[in-house]
Amino acid sequence: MSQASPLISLKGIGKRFGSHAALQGIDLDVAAGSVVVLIGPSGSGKSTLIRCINGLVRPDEGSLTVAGRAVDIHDEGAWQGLRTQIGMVFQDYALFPHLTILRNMTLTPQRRRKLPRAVAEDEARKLLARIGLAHKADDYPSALSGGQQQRIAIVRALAMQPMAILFDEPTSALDPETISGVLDVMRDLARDGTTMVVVTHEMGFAREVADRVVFMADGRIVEQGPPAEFFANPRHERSRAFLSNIRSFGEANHA
Amino acid sequence: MEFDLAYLMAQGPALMRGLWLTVQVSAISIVLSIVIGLMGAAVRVLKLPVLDKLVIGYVEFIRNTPLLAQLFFIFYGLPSIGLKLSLFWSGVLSLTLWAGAYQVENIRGGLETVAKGLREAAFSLGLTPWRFFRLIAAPMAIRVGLPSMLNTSISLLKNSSYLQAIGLAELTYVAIDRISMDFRTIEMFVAICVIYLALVLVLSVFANRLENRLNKPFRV
Repeated sequence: MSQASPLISLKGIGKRFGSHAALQGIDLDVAAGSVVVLIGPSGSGKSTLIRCINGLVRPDEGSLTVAGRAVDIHDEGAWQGLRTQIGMVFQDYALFPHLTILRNMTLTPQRRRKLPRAVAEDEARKLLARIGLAHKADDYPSALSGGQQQRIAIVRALAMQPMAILFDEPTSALDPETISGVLDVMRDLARDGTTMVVVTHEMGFAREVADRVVFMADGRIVEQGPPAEFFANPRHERSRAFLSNIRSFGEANHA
Repeated sequence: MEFDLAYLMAQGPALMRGLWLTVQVSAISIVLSIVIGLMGAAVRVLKLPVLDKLVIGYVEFIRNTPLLAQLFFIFYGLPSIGLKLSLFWSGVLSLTLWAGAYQVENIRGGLETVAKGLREAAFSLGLTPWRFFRLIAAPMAIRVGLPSMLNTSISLLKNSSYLQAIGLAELTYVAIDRISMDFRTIEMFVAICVIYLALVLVLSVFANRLENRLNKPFRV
């Protein structure tokens, strides 16, 4: 079954904001258990694209198929159902600040998965233990560092037992010393076969963890391929320019 | 004329009955005005078509006309179009509508501080817009809006004295009624002012406790 149908499949996705075409003719397949990393300059449409996978941004045109079922992109009810199956992690963590960590994690499992409170709490504590933050269950988000909050945001998404998780620049808002903790959690997930679509500027992570790198510019996918190939031999002029910019930035940083 | 404490003591039971009506009418109106505030603010923030304009019109109308005129309209005006309410409920309705308009603005201000990111996070977890409002946005908005909501509630409590104008036997009515019989002006006005002051202080203490509780998650 090497040609199994992809878990998530986008065909001809387009999105306009007023006169600005944010996305044009996006075709993207994500195989179950694979890690797809989206990279590209800011404003290239990466964040808009992953929001089109769970309907936080509703595409104007195109089709989306998840686990073999077509999603009616004009039906908000269909999106709400889909969102219980596709998790998302944001740049600013977006934990609910007025709720304890435990409550952040049990809120939707209780309501959307209909779990009894005790079961939801038990699952949440296990997930917290997995990222070494079991002792923070009864704290509020404000008592935690950015990196801790982001790790909790990841397991909060996991608590819904999603079939895939979207990451929108999960480390961009973090202090450098807390980034590795978050990336470690993401590596763990990848190793466990979690399907992930990741927007990131962490090229090291992309190189190491991605099964496929997708390079975007101006609302289009410019090229995509396995990371080893993409980073060694970018085929397109835009990709080469982007990578050399990043490299010179990296060298300047480490000089 | 001296301050006659014995006279005041003798009026105790009548004042207590007035106080009780003031408390009832104010408490019910405060709760209902916050309900109106939550609904109106949700309509404004979600920019629901038509309803949005209605809420704006309601808020502007209430804030730019005198409370006494609104009260007379409800008590004397509504029966002529077939809606006759008791004294008590006329009072509740006018205070509720009056304070509700201010609570819409108080809570709307709070809602606008709820980050867009939290809305996306709630939606991405599968929460419906209604649950997002109820479980996330409203509690956060109330925390931020609480001081101004308290101000409005205090104004409502004080403005309940307007209800004497339609003959509801609340605290101010009792005082004026006694004065017209016994001419003990100073005693009665000192008494009701002290009682109003005490009520406002109780309300403030209650609000401060609530604020402390809602702020707990934000103290590091």
